[in-house]
Amino acid sequence: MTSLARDVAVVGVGYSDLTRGDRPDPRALTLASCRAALDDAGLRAADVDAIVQFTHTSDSTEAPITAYVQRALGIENLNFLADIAKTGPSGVGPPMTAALAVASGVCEVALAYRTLPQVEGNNGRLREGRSQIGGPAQFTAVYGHAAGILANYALKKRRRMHEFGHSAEEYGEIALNARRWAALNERAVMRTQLTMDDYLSARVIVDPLVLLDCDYPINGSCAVVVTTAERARDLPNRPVLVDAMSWGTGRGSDFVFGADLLYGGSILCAEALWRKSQFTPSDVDLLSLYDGFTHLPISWVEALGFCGLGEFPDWVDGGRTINPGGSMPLNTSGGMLAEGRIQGIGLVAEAAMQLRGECAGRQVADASVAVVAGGGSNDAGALILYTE
Amino acid sequence: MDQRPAPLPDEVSLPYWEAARDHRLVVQVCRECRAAQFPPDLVCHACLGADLDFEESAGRGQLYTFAVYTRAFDAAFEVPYVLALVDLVDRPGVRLMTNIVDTPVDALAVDMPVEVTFEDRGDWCLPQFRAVPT
Repeated sequence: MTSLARDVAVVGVGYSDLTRGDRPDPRALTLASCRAALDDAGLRAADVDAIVQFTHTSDSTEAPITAYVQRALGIENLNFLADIAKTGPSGVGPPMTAALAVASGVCEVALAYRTLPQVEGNNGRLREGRSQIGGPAQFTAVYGHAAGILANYALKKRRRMHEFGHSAEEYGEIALNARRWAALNERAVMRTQLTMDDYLSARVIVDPLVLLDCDYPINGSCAVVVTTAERARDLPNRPVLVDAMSWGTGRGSDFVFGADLLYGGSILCAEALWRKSQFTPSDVDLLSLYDGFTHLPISWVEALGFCGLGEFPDWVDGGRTINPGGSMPLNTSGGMLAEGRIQGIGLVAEAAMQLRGECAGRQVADASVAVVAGGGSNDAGALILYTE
Repeated sequence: MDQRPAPLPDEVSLPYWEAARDHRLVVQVCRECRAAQFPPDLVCHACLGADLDFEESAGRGQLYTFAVYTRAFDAAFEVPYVLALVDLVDRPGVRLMTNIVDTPVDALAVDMPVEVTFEDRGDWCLPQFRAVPT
C-alpha cells in the first residue's frame, strides 16, 4: 500500500468582479477570487499546499503565476503546483489537475484558478504580417489563418451543417439559452434576451461564424478549492464529490488537422468518463459544457451520449430541454457566452453551487449529479460532480 | 507589394515546399506502411516508422469545409478571401489547409471537387485550390 489515491471534493468557489471596459490588475482579480474561494470553503491560506492555474501566455501579463499567488497569500510552501500553459481544457484544467493532485496524495488542499483580462480575449485585433513563417504555422498562417480560433469554429460550423443537413438554428439555441439563464444570474454581463432572428442576423465574424457564436470577453477570475472527501466532511459546505474525470485528445491530436474536426477528442473523452463513472447519462441533473463557441455544447451533448451524433436539434426541442425549467438544464450561469469568458472554470464553480443548492432563482431542483466539460477539440476534458 | 508571409521551410518540410516551387504537389508517404500524412513529420503517425518519402499527388481534392474572411484579422491579407480544408482524392487521410482561389464565393459548396494550382509567395510557392472548370 502506497500513499497514493483518495476520494476528493470541491469545497469552495470564488469569483472576482466580472467587468468589461476597464483595466483591472490581473493580480488583484486573482487574489479576489482565491480569497473568496477560501472563505467559501472555510479554509485559510495557510491550509493551502497546492496551486494550479491555466494561462495562454508564458509570461504573467495575462494572469499571475502560481508563485505570485503563493507569496501574496502568504503560503509557506507548496507540495504541488502547475502553471498549465496553452493546451488542455482551458480553465476546466486547473480544477481537474487540482483534483488529480489531491486524489494522488501529493497534496491536501489545492487552489485552482483561471484569470483572464478582457483584452486577452479580443481576437479581433489586427495582426501585422511577418515575411516568413516557420513551425506548424507554415502550413496555416501562409493562407491567412489569422485569429485562427475563429476560423476553426467557422470551419467546424459549416462542416457540421453540411454533414447533418442542419440549419444554423441549432447554434442559435445555444446562444439564446445562455441569455435566458444569464437573466437569472446577477453576475452575468450579458443579460439582454435574444430572439432567433437576432442570432440569424448577427454580425459575421468569419463566415459562417457570427458574433453570437462567440463567448464574451471580460475581466475576471474564478477559483475553486479542492481537498479530500474526508477533510470536506469537516468543512461548512456540503461536499461536492468528484466521481470521475478524463482528458481526451482524439487521434492525430491537432486542432485543425486532427482526425475528427467536428468532435475532436470529446467522444473518446466521454467514453472514458462513463467507463469510470458510477453514473449513466440518465442520472445527470444538469450540464456545464464549455461554450467558448456555440459549436462546443452541441458537440459535447452528442459526444456524452445525451443524444446521437447529429441529433441535437431534435433533442434540444427548440431550447425547451436546456432552458430554465427544462429536463437537462445547460450552463445555468449563462456560461461563457453570457456570464463572461473565464474559459470554463466558472462552469465548474456553477455546477458545484448548483449541487450545493445555492443558486436561488436559477436553482435546478434536487440537483445531485452534474457533468462538466472543457475544451472539445483536441483539448477535451470532462468530470462528473455529485453530492450524496 | 505583397505583404503576405511566405513559408519558412525546415528540414522535414523542405521537400514539400521545393516541390511546390516546381508546381508539383507532393505528400509525405511512409515506405513501410504506405500511409500518407500531412503536415510532414519525422515519423509515420500510422506505423511510427521513420522511413518516409514524398510522392506526387494528382492534386484533385474535395472541399471538406471552408470559411470566408470578410474582415481583416491580418493586415497582409486582402478581404474577402476563402480559407478551406481540402481532402486529397488520391491520398486518403491527407487534409490540407488552403485558400480557394479563382472561384466566386457563391459558387463554393462543401464536398465540391477542387484542383491544385500554385501561387508565388516570396521566394516560395503555395499550393492553392480552385473549383474544377466544368
